[in-house]
Amino acid sequence: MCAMAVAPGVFSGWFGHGDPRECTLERSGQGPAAGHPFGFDIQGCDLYSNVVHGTRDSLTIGLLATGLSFAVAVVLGSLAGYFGGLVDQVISRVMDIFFGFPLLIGMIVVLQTFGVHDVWSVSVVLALFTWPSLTRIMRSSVLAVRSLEFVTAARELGAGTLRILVRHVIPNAIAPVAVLTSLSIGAVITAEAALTFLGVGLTAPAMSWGVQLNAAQEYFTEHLNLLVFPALFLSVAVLSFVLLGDCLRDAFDPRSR
Amino acid sequence: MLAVPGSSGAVRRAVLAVGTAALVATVGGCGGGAGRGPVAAADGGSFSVGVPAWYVAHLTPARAGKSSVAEAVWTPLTRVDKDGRAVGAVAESIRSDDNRHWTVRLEEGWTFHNGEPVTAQSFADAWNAAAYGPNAMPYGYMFAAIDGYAALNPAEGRPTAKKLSGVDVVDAHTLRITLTKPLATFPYVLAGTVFAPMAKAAFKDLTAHDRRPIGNGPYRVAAPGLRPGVQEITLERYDGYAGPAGKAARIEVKSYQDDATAYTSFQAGAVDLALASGHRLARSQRTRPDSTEAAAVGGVSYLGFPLWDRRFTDPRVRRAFSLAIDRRSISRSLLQGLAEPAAGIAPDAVVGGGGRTCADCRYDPKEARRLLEEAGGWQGALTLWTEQDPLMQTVLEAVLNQLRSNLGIDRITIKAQPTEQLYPNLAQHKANGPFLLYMGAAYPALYAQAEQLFAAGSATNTTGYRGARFDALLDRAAARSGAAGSALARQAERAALKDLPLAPLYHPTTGAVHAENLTGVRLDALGDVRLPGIGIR
Repeated sequence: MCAMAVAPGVFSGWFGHGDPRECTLERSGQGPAAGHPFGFDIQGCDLYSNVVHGTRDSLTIGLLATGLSFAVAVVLGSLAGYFGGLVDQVISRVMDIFFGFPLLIGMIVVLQTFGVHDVWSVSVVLALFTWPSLTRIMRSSVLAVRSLEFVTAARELGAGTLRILVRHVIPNAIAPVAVLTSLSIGAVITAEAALTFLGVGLTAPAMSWGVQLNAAQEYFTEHLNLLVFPALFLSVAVLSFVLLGDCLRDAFDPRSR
Repeated sequence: MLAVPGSSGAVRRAVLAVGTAALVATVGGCGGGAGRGPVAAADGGSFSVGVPAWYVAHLTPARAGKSSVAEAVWTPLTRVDKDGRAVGAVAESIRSDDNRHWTVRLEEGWTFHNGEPVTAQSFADAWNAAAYGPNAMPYGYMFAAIDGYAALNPAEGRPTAKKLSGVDVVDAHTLRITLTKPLATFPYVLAGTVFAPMAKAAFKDLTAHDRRPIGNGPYRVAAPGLRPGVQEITLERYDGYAGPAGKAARIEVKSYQDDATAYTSFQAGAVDLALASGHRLARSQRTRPDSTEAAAVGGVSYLGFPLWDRRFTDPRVRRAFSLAIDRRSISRSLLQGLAEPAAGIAPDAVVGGGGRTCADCRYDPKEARRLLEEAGGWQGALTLWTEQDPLMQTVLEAVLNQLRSNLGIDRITIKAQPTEQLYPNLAQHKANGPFLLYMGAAYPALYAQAEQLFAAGSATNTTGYRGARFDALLDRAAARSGAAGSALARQAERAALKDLPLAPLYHPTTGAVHAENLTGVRLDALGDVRLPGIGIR
């Protein structure tokens, strides 16, 4: 799947010309034909190569958004957990505000105010609403780690706050949040598809599974293939990331092995 | 009216309630089959219609705009007959020697729904209220052609007058109207429901009137009218109507967010009549041809060019874009035949329309590429704009694909905005690329369409086009009636399209779907149904 995202051209050429931009309106909505295993979309473009090329934007958004929220979660979570007090209060209350928001509605509202809907803006908005749950996990695991003996020992030895955080606390507290992050990649990809389906995410001519599903919603009673194939790829991708998350958890947590 | 299949008790009560001995004949099974369907009865029966929400958002002539509901509730001075001529409705005659000073004789015997007679004064009152700036009527601008409009709508400060100086009530049944300049198509203008009369009682409480108007049309809005939060009104036939009476005794009007949801409701059997377009209409034509009506509408979908943008000042660039678009395959394949490739701004359905006035509306990718190269090629990104409408966006994607493959422009994006954002953005010259829009003629005459799209003062002149030759020809067209006026309007159209401020793409076909036992469903030149003519079999 990742190989597909990096080099879609290799895969999309398997059956036919493989150019997702080469469209003939005469073939609008036609079923599978030689060289076009998935048929044609409503614009008369080859659906297979479109779905393959769609992998890139969908996965990029998934990785970018979770990467951003992971970074924010690690920084804010360890600050809140390690220092406690006022810092914790401020960060936790901000998180509470975000928790109080209905996620999808919040994202729709924010995206509506954005002028451009590209990979970056959609990722940032998705990250904006996924960081609080990750941060909360990070905070609680830092809370557990900071009172352990080796942290106290490091402090007694005269190590600086930054050094303790970076060298001792974070490496020991990061495992749960890393697992959760990989699990949420799938959720973010789905959220992107949902937002785009609702018309506030990416817009054509960008190619993502959400865009293809959005285009299909008007026509799926007549052309089922338009809906099925992007949805199939989407499900497989989400499933792979969930499994990846499971593997990571096993790797980090030797007890469950 | 409350007949549900299988509940004969309800049927019996409903029949007793209307006091007739009629048989409740067919309880229609439409679409999904679970709905109650139209009800036939000796008094004409009843049916329900699904309409877009704006049809019933306001019920004052100059707030409501033209819709099938407005046309059922009001009858203005004239109407456009099926041959596309403006003929008298409330007016007995309408005359002018110079197309500027008009004398209208009203027929006697017309009354409002509250029994008040319709007089010249009722028209004058309604028009003065509509044009009066502080009343802020959305369609008040349509009175700009009448003398004295400027005094009621000063650029700043309070208006100095309360009445249009160009509207003169001679006696109870004679109205004299003076326009700012000659307009031969003025009888067509008067056919719009915005120019409908208002009863004296209406002015006591304009807000209440907006929810339950006192009209003079074949149907009246039943009590309690439009209630906040309720998406439907009931129309009852008005028995004192002086024109041809409506066929059905009652029409239930249910409003929906858009045509698509109305169509879905129709499929579910919740309404008996709904407008349809795009692939829904195409599918309905295939699956239920007997209960689908389709007709070409008097409008055009066009790709407008931002003339304020340096990159589009060279006419060769605009011609290249126009020549690179394959109108035929968009109409035939993408729109499944529910459109006619355009070579002008108005189709046959419009008086004077249908001329092949646009020389660059061919498909010639080679010539397009050559012209673009001659003009210096294309550098940088291109953004295409359109309304937030699934069908428009699909068409624009096809245009995008063609521009990319035929002109070699690689970085193209689409930007879709709601109409209430898009038009101001165009007016303020904020759009930075061509835009796909639809423009329907205000009334079915080529002059109206040309004026809307290209005249300097028009709010819908989205491209900001100014053409001296066009202006001169259009002024001459305005002053001439009949075929001579149409010919001049066509010359004006040709002059404007030679400069190509916009590229006409196609004339869409719109349609309506109805329950099988509805009869007389016809679409007018602007693509709407005429409710009074619909009966139940």
